[in-house]
Amino acid sequence: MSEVLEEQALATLLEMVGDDPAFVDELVDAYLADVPVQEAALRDAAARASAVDLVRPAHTLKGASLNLGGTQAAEIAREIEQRARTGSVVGAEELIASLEEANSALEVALRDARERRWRPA
Amino acid sequence: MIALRTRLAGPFRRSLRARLVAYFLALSTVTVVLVGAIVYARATGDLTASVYERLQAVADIKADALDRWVDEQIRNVVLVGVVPGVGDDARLFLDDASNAAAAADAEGRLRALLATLVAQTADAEEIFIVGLDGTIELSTLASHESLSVKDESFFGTGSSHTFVQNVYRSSLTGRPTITIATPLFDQDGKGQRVAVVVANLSLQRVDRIIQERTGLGETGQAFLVGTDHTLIQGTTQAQDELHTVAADAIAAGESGRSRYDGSRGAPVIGVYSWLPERNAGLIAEMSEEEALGSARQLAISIGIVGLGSAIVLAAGIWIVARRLTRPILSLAATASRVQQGDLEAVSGIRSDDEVGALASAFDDMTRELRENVETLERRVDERTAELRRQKTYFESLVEVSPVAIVTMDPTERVSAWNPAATALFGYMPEEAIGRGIDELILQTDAHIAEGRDLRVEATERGEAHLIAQRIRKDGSPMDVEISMVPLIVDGEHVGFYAIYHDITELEQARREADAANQAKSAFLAAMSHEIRTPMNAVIGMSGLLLESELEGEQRDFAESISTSAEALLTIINDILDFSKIEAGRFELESAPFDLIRTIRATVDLIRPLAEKKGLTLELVTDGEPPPLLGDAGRVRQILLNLLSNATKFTEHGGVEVRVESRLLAPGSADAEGEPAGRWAMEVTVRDTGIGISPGAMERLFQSFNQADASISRRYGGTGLGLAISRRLAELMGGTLTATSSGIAGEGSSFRLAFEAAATAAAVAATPGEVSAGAAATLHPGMRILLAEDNPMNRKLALRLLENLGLQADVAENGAEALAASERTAYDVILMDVEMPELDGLETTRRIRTAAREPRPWIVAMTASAMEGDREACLAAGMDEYVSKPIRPHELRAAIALAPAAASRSAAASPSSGAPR
Repeated sequence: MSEVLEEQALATLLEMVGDDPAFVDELVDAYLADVPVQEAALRDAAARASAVDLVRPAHTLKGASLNLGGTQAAEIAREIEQRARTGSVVGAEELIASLEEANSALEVALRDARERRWRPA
Repeated sequence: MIALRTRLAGPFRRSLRARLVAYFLALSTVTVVLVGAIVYARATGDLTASVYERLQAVADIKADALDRWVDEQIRNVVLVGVVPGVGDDARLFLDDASNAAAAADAEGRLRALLATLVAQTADAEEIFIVGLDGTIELSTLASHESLSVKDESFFGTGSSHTFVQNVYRSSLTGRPTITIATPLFDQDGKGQRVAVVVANLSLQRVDRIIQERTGLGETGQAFLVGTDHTLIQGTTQAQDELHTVAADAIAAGESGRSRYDGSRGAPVIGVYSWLPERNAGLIAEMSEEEALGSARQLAISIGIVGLGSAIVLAAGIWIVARRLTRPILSLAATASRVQQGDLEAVSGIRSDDEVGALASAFDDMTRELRENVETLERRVDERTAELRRQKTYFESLVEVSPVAIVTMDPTERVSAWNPAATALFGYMPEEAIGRGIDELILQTDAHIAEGRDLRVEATERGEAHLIAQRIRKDGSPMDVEISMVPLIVDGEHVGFYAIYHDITELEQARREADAANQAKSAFLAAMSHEIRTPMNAVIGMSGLLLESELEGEQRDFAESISTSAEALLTIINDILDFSKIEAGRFELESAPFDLIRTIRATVDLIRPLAEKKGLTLELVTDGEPPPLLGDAGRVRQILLNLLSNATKFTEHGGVEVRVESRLLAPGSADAEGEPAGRWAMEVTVRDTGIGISPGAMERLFQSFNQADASISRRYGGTGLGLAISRRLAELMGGTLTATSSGIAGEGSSFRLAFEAAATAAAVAATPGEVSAGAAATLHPGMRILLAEDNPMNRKLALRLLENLGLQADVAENGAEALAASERTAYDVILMDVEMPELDGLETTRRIRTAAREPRPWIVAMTASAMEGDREACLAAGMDEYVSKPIRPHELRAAIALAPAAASRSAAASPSSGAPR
């Protein structure tokens, strides 16, 4: 299983944005605000067994987690996305549950990282 | 007439006999009538002529008799005059004064004479002697004595010579009479006229002559008619007058013949003769009825006999016709039986005439027909048996088939259902046959629509194949492969023939294989991503490190890190490329590109390295090909590999790149006269390096092989470069070959040959210029649109652009991006692929459809690092592709490729250069 939060990715991000922790704060806040929205969308799509509607929120979460180094969450999101693209909703509920877990873990890790101004421990 | 014909038409038309008799009767009637008429006309003519002649003869005879009688009377009267002594007696008698006695004697003698005369000639009614003074002196009728006849013409004329006064009305008797007068002369020599002897004739004799009926038949009549139309006859006192055509003619003194209405009003045939001596005319006439009666009789007789004979003959014909038509009717009855299918029917007519021949031919024909039918029936039986055998055979083929076979009628109802179908779907044939296939093995609406599409496709294309899910009787789904063809018999669509093959397991296996394959691809993509990202970091960091203030040793280490990282990245790229090629997952682009520009850019890329080693690097081009369709990136990759090898293995001298291009097939130039057709390209890279030994040449293009094991130690590299290049050349349909003398210093020569189609399309960009673009500064005034729905990604991208010295407008979804692109002419659009409403692909398609100028440079941004995404993006009309998470250098490189970046960078002021 991949890491909940790749510290190196955060570091790269920080560097990429010009060593501006405040900007990373903004990014992470935007991410954390968006997560419940996307999760709700996934739940809704799964409840309707609509594979098509699973794709986009999963894709969005995948991209967002990857940006922040949330490898584990990104992988689960990618699994959901790929299955949904083949038209399958099999196991979607379980995967969404694990994604939510991963997202919660990521959130915790991110708050921790914020304390360190996004620098590796 | 028409009604009659119609009414008669039935039996008349039907019966030959009736027609025969009717025709005969009509013909004979006409003949009889014609003959009768002709005979009647001819007979009438003949009869009329003969009657005329007869009447004429009668008239002539009567006239003759009349003349002779009158002549006789004249002689009698004249005789009186010549009787001796009469003259003297008369003188004496008249001269009584001188001798009374003698006069008396004379009177006596005269009276005796006259009496004798009257007695002798009964025809004289009265004889008298007239004195010269016109007084009747002596008469056989004493009452008339002393009367004067001085004014009568017979006295005037008769006193000089014998005179006959023809028929007139006597003033003495008041009756018609003929008077004869002759003078009396005395005898004694003097011959002196002494008196006139006059005889009034009785017309009774005339009546007799006239009324004599000889030759007049039963109705014949004869008349003597005066000029005043009076009938001259002695017996009647009546003043009968006759007013007929003949009487009129007589009154006019004419003779002739004619047919006219007689005195009784009935038509007569008459002859009339004017008798001038009698001052009268004779008419003889006969009634036409009598005269022509025989002609009529004859005609009637002919008619009766003729018609009688005709009727008798008709009866005969009726009988004969019956004899003639009986066999024909019999034949017709036989033919009718044959027609109703009784092929045993025989006419049985045996005769030598035409009907017999016909009947015989007919019987022969029937027999032949019977034999043919029997043969045909036998053949049909045989054929039926054969067909039944074949049918059974084919049915058994279907029955024993391990594949489920179902046939349907055009309304999609099952018409055949084999045991394999029963085994597959669970329905018994009797359950399935007659039911719609859809209700049997399809359930959802989507499936039913799909089944309908399949049949439509089968009908339209003649066959259809589908892998789909079907439902068993127990409701369980299964995957089947369906092959369906329309059943067409004699051009008529009679249904469908479908084969169902259970591929649940196959499908399962395929899905698993697909999944495995996908996993492999995903692994490859992940690998590429996961490895390249840190590698980029290493390279980027070492680059930064080298730019910082370093001590001599530190700089050496940093350079070593940088070089190793570059080498490692090359190796990783090579391995990934090679594994992609090996997995058959390497796909070539087909886009217009400028070969010479691509090659020049690639040569320029390697030039710093060559110059660093003091080598010459020359590019010689022969011919200027038009834009070609192909994968410029792969050409560049091959050439880069060849050039870096050439540079790597050459210590002295130089490297020459020669490009030869020639038009293979002219092809048809299009309307604008743009070049078309195929071009053959040859790119030769020749160096003056260490060369390749013959033994090494064999292994040159093999994977993981360098010419010599020592080489890898000395020069590094994976040895994959040439293998990849050759594979790429082969993927392009070309070849990559090497020649070398194997002598150091004479070097080696690599030749890339391939063909490409010319295109009229504009060249979008030249990948070879990427590095040039990447090296160049980005113009800060470039108009950029960022289309990204995710706020975080948007922020990040904006920040990265900011770091590149660029600013961008923002669109939060595809629709906004589309609207913005219509408002502003953007140089670059960064397009997230996954967006709600309108995704990036569709937005791009719409922007491309709008075909705005200048054409925006669209860069896709997506988190799917899957092969195929890139192709989908390019197919939608995007120009470049960066994967998420976005790396600044990738973003920069993608933007730097935009035409605007190059053109504007030249005009850019030094102060507006992007920060480093």
